[in-house]
Amino acid sequence: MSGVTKYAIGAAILLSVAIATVLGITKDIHPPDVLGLPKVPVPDDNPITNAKVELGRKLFMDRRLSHNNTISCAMCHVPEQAFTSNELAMAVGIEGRTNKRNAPTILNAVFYNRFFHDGREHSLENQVIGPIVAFNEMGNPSVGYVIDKIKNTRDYDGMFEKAFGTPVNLDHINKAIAAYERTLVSGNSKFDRYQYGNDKEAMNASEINGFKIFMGKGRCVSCHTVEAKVAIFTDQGFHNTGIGYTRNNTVYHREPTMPITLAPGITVQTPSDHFDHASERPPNDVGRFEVTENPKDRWAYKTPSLRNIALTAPYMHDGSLLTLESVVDFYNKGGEDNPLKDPLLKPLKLTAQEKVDLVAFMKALTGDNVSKLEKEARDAYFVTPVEMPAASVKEN
Amino acid sequence: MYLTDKFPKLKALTKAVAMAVVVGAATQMPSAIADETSCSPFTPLVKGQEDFVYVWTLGVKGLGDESDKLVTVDANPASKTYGKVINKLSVGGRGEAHHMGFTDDRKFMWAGALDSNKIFIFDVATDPSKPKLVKTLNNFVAKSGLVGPHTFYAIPGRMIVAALSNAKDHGGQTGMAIYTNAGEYVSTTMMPTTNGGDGFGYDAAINPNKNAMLTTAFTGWNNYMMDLGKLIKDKDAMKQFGNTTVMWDYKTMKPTKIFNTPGAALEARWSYAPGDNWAVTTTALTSEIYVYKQDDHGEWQQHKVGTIGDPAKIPLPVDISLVSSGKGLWINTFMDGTARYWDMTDPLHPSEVYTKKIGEQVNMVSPSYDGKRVYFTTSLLSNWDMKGKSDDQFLKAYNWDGKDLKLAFEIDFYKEKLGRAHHMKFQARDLKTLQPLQASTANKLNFASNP
Amino acid sequence: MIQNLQYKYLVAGLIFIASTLLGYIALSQYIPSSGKVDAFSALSSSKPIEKEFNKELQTRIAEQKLAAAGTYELQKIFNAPDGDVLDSKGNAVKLSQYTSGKYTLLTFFYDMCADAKGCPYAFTTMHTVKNYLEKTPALSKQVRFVNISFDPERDTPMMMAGLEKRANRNNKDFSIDWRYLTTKNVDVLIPLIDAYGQNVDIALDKDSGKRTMEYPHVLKIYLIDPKGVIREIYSTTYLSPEMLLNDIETLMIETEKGV
Repeated sequence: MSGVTKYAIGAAILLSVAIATVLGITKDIHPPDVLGLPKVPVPDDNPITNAKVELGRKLFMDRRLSHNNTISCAMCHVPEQAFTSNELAMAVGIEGRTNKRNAPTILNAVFYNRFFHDGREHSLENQVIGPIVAFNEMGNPSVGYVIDKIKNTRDYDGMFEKAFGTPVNLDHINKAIAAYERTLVSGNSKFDRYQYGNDKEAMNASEINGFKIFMGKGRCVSCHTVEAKVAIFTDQGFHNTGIGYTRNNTVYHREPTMPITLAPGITVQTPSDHFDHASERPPNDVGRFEVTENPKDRWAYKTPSLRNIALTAPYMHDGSLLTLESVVDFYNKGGEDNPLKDPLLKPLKLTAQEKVDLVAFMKALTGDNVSKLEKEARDAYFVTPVEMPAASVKEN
Repeated sequence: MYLTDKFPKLKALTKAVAMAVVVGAATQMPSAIADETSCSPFTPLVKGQEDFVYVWTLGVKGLGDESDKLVTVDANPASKTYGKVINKLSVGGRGEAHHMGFTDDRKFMWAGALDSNKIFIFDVATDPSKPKLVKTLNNFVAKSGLVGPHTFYAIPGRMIVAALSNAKDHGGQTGMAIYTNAGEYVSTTMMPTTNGGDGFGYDAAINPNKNAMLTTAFTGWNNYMMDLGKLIKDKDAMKQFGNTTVMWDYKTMKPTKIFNTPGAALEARWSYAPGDNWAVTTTALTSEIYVYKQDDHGEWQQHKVGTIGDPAKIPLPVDISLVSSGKGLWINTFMDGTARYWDMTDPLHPSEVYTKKIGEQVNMVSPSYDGKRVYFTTSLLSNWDMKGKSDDQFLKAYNWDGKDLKLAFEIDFYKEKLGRAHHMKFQARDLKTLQPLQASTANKLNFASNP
Repeated sequence: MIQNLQYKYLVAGLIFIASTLLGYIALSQYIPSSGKVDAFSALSSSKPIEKEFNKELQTRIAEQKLAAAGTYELQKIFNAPDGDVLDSKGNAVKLSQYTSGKYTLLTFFYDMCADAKGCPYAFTTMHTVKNYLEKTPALSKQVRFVNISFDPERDTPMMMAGLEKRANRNNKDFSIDWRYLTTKNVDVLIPLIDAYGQNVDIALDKDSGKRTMEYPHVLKIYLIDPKGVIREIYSTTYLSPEMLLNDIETLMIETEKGV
């Protein structure tokens, strides 16, 4: 780059920062109150601004954020699939590497106290960089590599300066994406209008009955919390339901054949060992224990929020249940028995109608702005530039 | 013809077209004859002894330079280096190297990477023994929105690039892009999602005599990049396979008929033998053979004509290759490493007449034009290949006398630190008798660029 | 030189007549008589068509499976490249003056080409198109053919003049203008054929290693719209007069509709 060009770019950046300040792009935004949701927690050191959100959204959608330009945050948290993946039980990372858990939705993630299924992170900001440098997710070799790459990607010129006043660094990558994620809140569902909006017509009889079961006979609320003025449908806790225990132990006690559905209506019973030679050893997963190393936490996983649950199949931390009906069946039988099963789980003896109503209720938890959030994300994808850099890091 | 009614001036031309058909009879259209390792009928064929086999090879982490590479093997028994690797050209990085295809003049070979989405253009004419990388296309995703450039199929002056996935969600909704031979993007056609179409894609093959193109349907990036054992157990992911095939009007690139073909139909092959006008494909998951033929009314019909091995055991039929007479079909089943030869004399009633275990796993099969030599390679997809001891990676060349395959030579791609051996293409060019027209000063490798 | 030229005309003429005759013989079983079929009017002027032939005609249309003109879109492949060429008078001109303003069929060739499925086939096909279009002056006026040689050593402007004269010998003022162009030398030619993506080889004699008269190549015909954009590329694997006419009509409809 010639000296003159450098000066020109420098001047342009300064100018854009100045204009941005004047226009109020860097002014703090206060997330609006949404019916049924608590106030969006905003840390003092990362107020939300339009410039940050725009930058965070661009980073979130940008496939170049992975080592080989193939995976963005949004390839597993697909906007059109409610910011999760409806087509995979467990996520697939860079070069196809195995992830042992289901990609959770980003919608309303801001309300969690702990992040990841095992709760190993405690803030959105800290969470961001994890997948970016994870070997089996976006696969970048180091934090410095990511920073260099963004620095050398011309269409980010000035964006960090505009949002933070300084060039790109790790803190600002985390803060920008976290700021964007704080805008992915979705409430004002039928349930919210019924429960908190004084609109008794918002839910039909089946949904209302489902809500009653949710709060009572179904015992769902003991983990999926509902409060007086808001509901985030999680107790922020970790529970062993048996899903993790079963998955990690059935491998050694499998049936001689397993059913495989090859096409709609075509299912075969295939010898269970048929694909062993073509399979890597499935990764083990002990849940919360992997963080705390407390034996009591083995196969315990974070309680997910149920908001937008109708849009976020498949379910459970390993995506092993395909439908809400199968989830209800799973809890109706009291989960999978194992020595560490949470005592909260007991057989529920729900009737067929009660199960139907419970599912109807869960389908009333879909927020009213999901398609708008999806569109905003996809629009950001299309403004990302056209040509991929020839090498991962381009020297200028 | 309602369009021309609006434009009376054109009526005369319409008439002229109808009349000209008569002349079509007088000047016989040259019949396309193809399938030497499944080339486009627009590409000249190597009809004699192939001199070189190019093997598009996947880099493996922890092996050699870990990079995808084009390996050139000397395949001429008269040569001193017969059966040896005479060249390797690394393209850098691991991008899931997969398939290749010649341009319509066989001067250039395009090779794709299903993960990095890069397309490499090799000059295979100036010195066929030493292919040279002349251009790398990095804009496939940006231009087309597609992911996983799979099939490279020559049409006059252009390449059809049939993809497997898309950049929105790495699922199976996909399409076909067209580039000029110079590597300039022209257009994208999405796979149909209406009238029974499911939007999935995989291979494309054209019968110019019938103005017909057959496409098949596999699965998206999420699945083709996933560990095979993990995939089989993922019930949601297993729903994401294509269950259709599509017959297109090649000229207009519009679907003419969509067939229900459950279980991911893969390679599409036309028989170009004189008088033949049928195509064949096999389904990877359901292990069926389907043949496409016109009925008495000229409408394309799909026929399920055979079952490969025991479908309950999912043998995974992968590559298939028709011999040039159209009377025999090689089918490889990946899981049992077996090559199967089917008698296609009656394409609607074929039968398996020969099987041979080639290795622990086998994917690609390429017979020579005369059918006397058959080459096999091993790799299917880097995360679907066998693991550990079963992960054989080789090129094996056999002589075929119509009854038995006899090993001619074998190259161990792991021993030679090359990687996973995937797609093969032949090249033969007698440099002594054929020279590219080349001015002394001009650089023949400079492509035209689109103004 | 002159003798050589005449000899070639004779050969070309004989090939043309022979192929025509062969075609007619091949067809004649379906044409007991003909009235309207006038592609080769000298041969088939006075015989009415019978049903059999109609059936055959329909079968051929069906076999080619061509969509009706104007119901499909031809790709905009790339802009027809420009270059320095010599016209049949030996004048240095820009190729671009022959690749815009009309519907143009452009092909590279060499006069000595003996590949039956190559240049001679293209020539015959283009000639058929020319004959038909000229039945409607309003249409033929809008169309131009261009042949460019890739054998500048032998295919001199004088040679081109002869070919051009022959190709246009029965022309009326509304006829298709068929231009024969060549280049000054190989150095000028190379960038042009590269730009069009028309690869060509030089055949060498097996024993002596010397150049033969042959230029093996995969023949391509380019259809260029009046704006100078290449809209279709044909090779002999996929070429028929009806397809060319159908595509030209499609472009004309596009122009009329003002797309």
